[in-house]
Amino acid sequence: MPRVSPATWFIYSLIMTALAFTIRSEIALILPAIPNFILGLILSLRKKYYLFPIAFLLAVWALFLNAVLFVNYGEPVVVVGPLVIRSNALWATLIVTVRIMTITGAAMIFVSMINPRELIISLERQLGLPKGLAFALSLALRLIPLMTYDYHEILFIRRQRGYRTKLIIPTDVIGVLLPLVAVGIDRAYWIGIAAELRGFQLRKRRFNPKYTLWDLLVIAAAIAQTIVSLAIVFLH
Amino acid sequence: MLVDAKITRAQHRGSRFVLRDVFLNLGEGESVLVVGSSGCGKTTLLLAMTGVLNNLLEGEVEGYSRIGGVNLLEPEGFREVARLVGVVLQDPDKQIAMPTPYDEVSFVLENLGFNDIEERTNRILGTFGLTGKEFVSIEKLSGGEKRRLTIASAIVHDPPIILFDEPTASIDPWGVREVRKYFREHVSGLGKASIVVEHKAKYFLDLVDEVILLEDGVIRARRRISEVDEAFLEYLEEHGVDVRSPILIREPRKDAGRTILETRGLTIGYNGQPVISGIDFEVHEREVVVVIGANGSGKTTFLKTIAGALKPVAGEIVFHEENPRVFYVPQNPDYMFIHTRVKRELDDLYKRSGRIFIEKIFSEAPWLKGLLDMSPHRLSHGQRRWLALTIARGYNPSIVLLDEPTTGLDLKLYRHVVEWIRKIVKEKRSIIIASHDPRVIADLADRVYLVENNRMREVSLEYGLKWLEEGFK
Repeated sequence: MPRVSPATWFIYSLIMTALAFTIRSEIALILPAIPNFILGLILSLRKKYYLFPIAFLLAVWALFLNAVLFVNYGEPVVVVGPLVIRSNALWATLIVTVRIMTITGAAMIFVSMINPRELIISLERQLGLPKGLAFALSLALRLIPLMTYDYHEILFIRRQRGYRTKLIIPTDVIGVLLPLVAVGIDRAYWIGIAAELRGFQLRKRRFNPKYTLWDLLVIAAAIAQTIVSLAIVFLH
Repeated sequence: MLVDAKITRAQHRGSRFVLRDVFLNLGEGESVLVVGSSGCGKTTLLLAMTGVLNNLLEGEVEGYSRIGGVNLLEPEGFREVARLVGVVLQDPDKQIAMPTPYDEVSFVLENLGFNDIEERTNRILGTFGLTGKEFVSIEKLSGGEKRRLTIASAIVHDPPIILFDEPTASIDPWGVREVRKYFREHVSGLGKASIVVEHKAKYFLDLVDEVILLEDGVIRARRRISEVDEAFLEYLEEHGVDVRSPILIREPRKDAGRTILETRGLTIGYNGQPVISGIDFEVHEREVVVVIGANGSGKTTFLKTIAGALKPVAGEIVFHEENPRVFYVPQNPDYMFIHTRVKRELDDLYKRSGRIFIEKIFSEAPWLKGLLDMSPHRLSHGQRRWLALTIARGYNPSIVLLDEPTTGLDLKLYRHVVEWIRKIVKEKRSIIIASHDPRVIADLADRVYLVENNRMREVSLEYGLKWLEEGFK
């Protein structure tokens, strides 16, 4: 696959998500939904990222149940014993599904095509992300595994001390958050000092955008899908 | 003089502790070792000298701290701190801010506007044995590799002075050996001045030019290294500084009771991947068993498997008692606290162990009465360690599993922990300690198991002690 900057994939996903949220005509969304979803699914499965496809299937199933329960009227389409599924329930499921397909498809493409470290560097260089925000994102990447470890340790200690590990009532949440935050604050305090001692305040904004032909093609694809979708909206 | 610091008074915001009249002068290539017990002001001194205390943390510092003629206490001077000073902090996980070694090293070069970032970064990573791991997630590095990375990031931009804040606190003897090697070759060997803050003075006494003892925020004693004699070492020891290698002078306990736990052909690991295989291990009543091994060898995994936090990959764990009560105390005491106040933690123990236990706690630690309304997380490191151990004791376990219980403790606090362990052994409990601290073998162990090359075997106390002591040399 030719090298496309992570910032370009970020812009692409942003455009697709904005499209899914702003265009009201579901027919106009079918065009971006199908190719994005298929491409995203292929890329996700190749990289063994199963979370998005599973989340999509669950969401569609939940939508369908919701539609059958609350908007099941119109002509009967499917009859299974006592269950009658009517045209409006199917239509309602379909129109929300195309939105979700567009968003999930763009998200799957984005997640499959970037690695988080490169994304942060790219956002800083290509889009001029402020240094404080870029640092915060890098730090988050660094801290997430540490905090995950903290969380598991805390849960095990709770279990050992005879406390619930499922956080049901506020005191459960406080009991987990308190040590998590205490350890996190201490870590952040020293990392902040270390960063300042290594010249963070002198760091200059590293805005140096360079786009390749492939970047332009990806952005052009996003713009083309937007234009076609808008055209369908106006024609309708 | 490369370093000319005169801190007449330094104080954190809202703190009662005050650092007074500390003077430091260092020429090129000179090293000073600052020692003292926990809370004596060692880290405050580093923060004051670098200008962090008054410029970043809103503390107060009077005096001056000139490095290469630049006063770091002035806001304009503080802007130069990164060019002039390289810093290695106590815990690599509280220093490394970037997700990969390459980003961590290049961070300071980018900040300072270097042009040859890629070349310098690759060169220093090669020097510190991190070639091939440039873009590996930091989490996948061993403790020793993380420590090497922090030293590499501190010297990559070639500052004239390097500050080390307890660089050996979280690493095993082999990590200490590497720190010493890199200190010799890349700090003093390249003519850089250095200030090393440590309470394990023995690791640096042969590498520095001067020793300074801090106590209660003032310099209690200072000696050129050529003037350090036995009397001075004893004086340091009296003030909570660890200056000697431990000596094994006691016989192993012979009154241990019946076997209460054993493992047969146990294989431990994560996600089915073995870390240590074929473990045959046993612990008796009233026994202290120490499991030693390098960082990352699987000691913690072993304790967690015994505690039930992890499932064994193969083999079995057999408890020879009806209701085995095992309690695991992690290395970080903060994980142990569930409640918002010390008082509530004690209330919890009261419910489980009764009034007599609580009375015993207050008689052993009368200082606790003044801290009841405090959050346990705001206690000092030593106090948090003590409270975590006391919580474990309150659950009345028959086997206590302690993960590196002496990490980061000065000699005084270390002795408190030793005393605590001896006390609970007298209460007919057994202890399994995972550690790479040789003092634990000398002062506590009845038996020692060594983890090496993914296997665990029992060794004599003498062998275990020698194995750890030889590690850093």
